[in-house]
Amino acid sequence: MSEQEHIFLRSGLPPEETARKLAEALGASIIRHDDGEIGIHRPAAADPLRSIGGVVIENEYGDDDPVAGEESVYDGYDLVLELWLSGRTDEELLHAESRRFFDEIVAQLHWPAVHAKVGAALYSAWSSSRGRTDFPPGTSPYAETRALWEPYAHP
Amino acid sequence: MSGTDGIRSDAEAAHRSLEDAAERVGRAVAEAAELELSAAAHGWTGVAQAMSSEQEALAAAAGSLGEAQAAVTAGISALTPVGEEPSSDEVAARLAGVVARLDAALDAAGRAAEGLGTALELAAESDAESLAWLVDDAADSLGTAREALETAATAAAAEQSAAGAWGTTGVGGDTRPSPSTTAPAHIAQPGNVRGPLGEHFRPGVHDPEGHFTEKERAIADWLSAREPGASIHPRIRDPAKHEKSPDAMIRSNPDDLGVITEFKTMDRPTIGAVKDNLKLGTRQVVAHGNGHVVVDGRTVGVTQTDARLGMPASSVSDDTMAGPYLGGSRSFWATDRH
Repeated sequence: MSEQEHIFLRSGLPPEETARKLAEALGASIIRHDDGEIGIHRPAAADPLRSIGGVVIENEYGDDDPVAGEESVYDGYDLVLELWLSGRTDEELLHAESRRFFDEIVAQLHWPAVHAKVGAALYSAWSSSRGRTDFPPGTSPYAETRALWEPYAHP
Repeated sequence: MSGTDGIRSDAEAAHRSLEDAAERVGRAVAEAAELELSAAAHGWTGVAQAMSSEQEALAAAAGSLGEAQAAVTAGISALTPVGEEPSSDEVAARLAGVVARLDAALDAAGRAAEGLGTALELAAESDAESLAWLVDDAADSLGTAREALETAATAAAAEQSAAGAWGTTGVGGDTRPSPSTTAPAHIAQPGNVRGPLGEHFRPGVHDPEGHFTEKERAIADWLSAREPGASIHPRIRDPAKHEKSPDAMIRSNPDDLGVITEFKTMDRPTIGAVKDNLKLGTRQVVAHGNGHVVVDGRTVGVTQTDARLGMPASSVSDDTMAGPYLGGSRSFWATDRH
């Protein structure tokens, strides 16, 4: 499970309620993990024998009050959907399926959202006022590319 | 065709027959629902009730068919061709996992057969001929699947037994006993289940099926080079289960129960990325009670100073930065807590 991607959200709802709305919108099933976290999952479009999904948790990444130079695009988001694939690691399939999740979430739920790989890459962001931006390959979620993601930083 | 190829072929045939059975059960459910509505419209409450029960029996069978398909998929996955010359211990342990999954599939297929038997009786009692034909077709497909599963499971058990008899494939003549079908779970799946390996313990990285990605393997090799006495196994992830699963189990001696370990590879040399990778890794191992996180910063030039700056104060202890796995100045090892 070492490979994950993340969709940061500002739903205005607690994690459980957010998970239920996500499951409804994405045609996914609810799952309660052994550690109590709530998640969603559904068969992967490209390989139905595997599933894509993850947990909806309070955002632990980034920093509520970052020092100058250590800001990230997701500091201002309260929830995160942490996504992984069942079975063997497959980064390309994980990215394709995560992107599908992001597309459906912003199209159906209209919550401010950021698609990223924590610690590594920023892919896309959406807000009702700014619409959608797909960032160039190699865009960082951290301060070095702040000019690119700043409009989506505090939804 | 090798023994493993034959097992795979039979298991794949079983999966296809299970799919056929599931598809026919789906059509039978639709037929039963239609008959229930029609009977209710005519006021034939007895038939309507029978068709409702029919749908329940078919739904139970469908659930068991799904379990069987998932178990077969997991068994096929566990048969993945090896990427290096495995030891007898590793081959036997892998085959024990395959046998266990195929046995689970057989159990589920047996439950599905019971459900279809009930459904067939109900259809016959209601004179629902077309429905009975559908259920009978599903039962035929399931019968074919069970035969193929029996063949695959028997062959896998025989291969496992043969692997256990090899005896001397290890470096320097490995004559230790190999696991059997009744081996404890931590011997059959040393990467997934904590427990002492005892006489099965062997130092090094044990990943003959290539479960580690290239990045994970680089970390495992780095750890093994710095701690030559450690035994490192990948955790095998079941594609049929959406569960949290860190990367590896590491044991330092034959009596060690094992430490669940998550590997992280840095993509960016920033303090924020160090913090976030530690949080990511810690979340994985804490979900299993506890464990270690190994973060590889070598490829992006993260220094020990960067690592210290990125580590939350609660996770810094004397051994997190000075432990036996902490070697070079550009790689570090950290754990949330012991």
